[in-house]
Amino acid sequence: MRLSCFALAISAWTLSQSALAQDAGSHELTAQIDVRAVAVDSPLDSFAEGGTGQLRFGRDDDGIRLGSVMIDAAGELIETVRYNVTARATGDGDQNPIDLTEAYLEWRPYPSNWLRWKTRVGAFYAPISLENRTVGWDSLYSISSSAINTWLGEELRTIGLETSLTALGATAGRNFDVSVVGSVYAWNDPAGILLFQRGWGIHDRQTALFGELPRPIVMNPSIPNIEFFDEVDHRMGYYAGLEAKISGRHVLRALHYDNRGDTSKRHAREPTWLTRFDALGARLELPHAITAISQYMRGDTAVGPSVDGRGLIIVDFDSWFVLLSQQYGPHRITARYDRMETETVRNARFFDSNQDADAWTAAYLFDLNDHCQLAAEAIQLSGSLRQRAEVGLPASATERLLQLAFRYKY
Amino acid sequence: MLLGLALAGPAASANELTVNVSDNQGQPARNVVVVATPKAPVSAPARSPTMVEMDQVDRQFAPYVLAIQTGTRVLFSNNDSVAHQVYSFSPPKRFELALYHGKPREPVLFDKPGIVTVGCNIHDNMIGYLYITESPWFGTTASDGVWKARDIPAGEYELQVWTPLLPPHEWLQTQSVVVGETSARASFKLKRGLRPEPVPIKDKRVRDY
Repeated sequence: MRLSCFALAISAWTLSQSALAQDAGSHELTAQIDVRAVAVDSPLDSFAEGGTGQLRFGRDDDGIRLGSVMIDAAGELIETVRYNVTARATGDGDQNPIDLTEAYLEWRPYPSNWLRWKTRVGAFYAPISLENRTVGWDSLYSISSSAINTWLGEELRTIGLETSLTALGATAGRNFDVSVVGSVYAWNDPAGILLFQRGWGIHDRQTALFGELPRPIVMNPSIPNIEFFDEVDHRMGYYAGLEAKISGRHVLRALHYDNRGDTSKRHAREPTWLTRFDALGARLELPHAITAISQYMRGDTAVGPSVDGRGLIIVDFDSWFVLLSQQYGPHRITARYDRMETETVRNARFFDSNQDADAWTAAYLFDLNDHCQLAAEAIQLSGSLRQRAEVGLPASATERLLQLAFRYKY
Repeated sequence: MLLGLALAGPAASANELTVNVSDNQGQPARNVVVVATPKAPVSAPARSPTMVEMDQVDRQFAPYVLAIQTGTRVLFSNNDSVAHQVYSFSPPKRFELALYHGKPREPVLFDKPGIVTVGCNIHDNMIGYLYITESPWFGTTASDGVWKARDIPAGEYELQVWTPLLPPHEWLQTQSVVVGETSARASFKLKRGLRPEPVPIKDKRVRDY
């Protein structure tokens, strides 16, 4: 079943509600355009064009490019129920010129004691990223997200229900809140395919709910693009996590994800991928307006029927990054190191997914005023991707990208 | 009402009470609530209905700690571009203010003494405290760690200091002080370092509530 009528219905309904709303005060509409000047030093085509490059722009992509157009509407439907709808356009020939990336309702009853309960239903990001904190789920610290959070933007979306319970510390004199979060969802059966074929990437392109990407490695234009948010095996996935927030500024997170994919089930277009991982993260606010973020993710993804149900081909993946960022008035500088690995641990003879790479990212962001931001970013991603051999390319490559973004937000 | 400014000068006026609060390192402790409660009846100033403001700026309450007398009404203004939904479930005053910009429909009356924690039901990081006391002599320390009460009747007082930035078993510290015909001083040294104050979110791009 192609995505969810359910998610569509919710977004259509919330959009109509916001359009009909009389009280503009309880609704916030944000629109942003991001235009880039791009300079690339890479022997590879970008994954966005079906290549094995892991950055958003590859060779021959020098010039002025559209970063994104983003429209976000958020507000109150009734006193404790809010909606949030985000749509993006990335200008690279996706199925729909503009498409939804998130659309959900959130129910937050007023806490009547030290427990706070929040429930989201619709399509949204699982609470893993500690970088993607802005309207539209962009990174606050750079243009491109870390490898981990880039992957969340590419292949993961919760289309279902999430609920969280927070023990509020303030009234008991504690300076920290502790939350547990749990979710059940569907329409995430293809999750893992891009990691399997192309490895980890570093960029800011989020896959829209109805979005598609060309298949890396497969050089046959008659084979259809990858559809990401689809239900194949009719089995719900889940995640469960913990969060601690200390003094309202430091955040610690842990989450276990399992889409419970049945690898014996196959759709006309996509097989089911069984993808499971653990994610850990910490964000610390240090003196001198310095923010330190680190996240770690480790898991595996499997595809194809097998006697033990674990999948015909199994690929382990892990990644971590460390980010340091300092804000000085309207200026922000950020440096990040990403480590990325995938390894086929079962039946590499059928398909050997093996990435061993790292990346350095440096970014400078300057808020001219409340509406305009200038951002500059340099990325060097180097390492090997064994599956490039499938298309006759050397496994090792170094990709360098310099991009200057002008962002206007209204 | 809230502040004694500047350092205590040598020419203190009659019936002035100066309280100095420092942390365990001897550094001035600001935004600490100080209350002076007379041990025997004194002639208190006539109580008049008052209204004070607790603002919301950059997704944080300002001031984040406010001392008031019972019977005071507090206007939870919102000077942010985003709407807020202020609530409390603290026993002295439970309330909920539906989503609003600017001025709320009406102020909230705090008619029982105690400590009230307020939050915003949309912005999880927002946290503010009200300390509600029966005594007419109260306030919070300025950035120099000083709070002053002027024209306080002579007599013996119990002084109490409170801050939400200490663990609960050290929330309150008390001592006695005698206010004579001229001036009196007292100082508190807190037993621990204070936790960091809640931070405003100045960057308007941030939206991870």
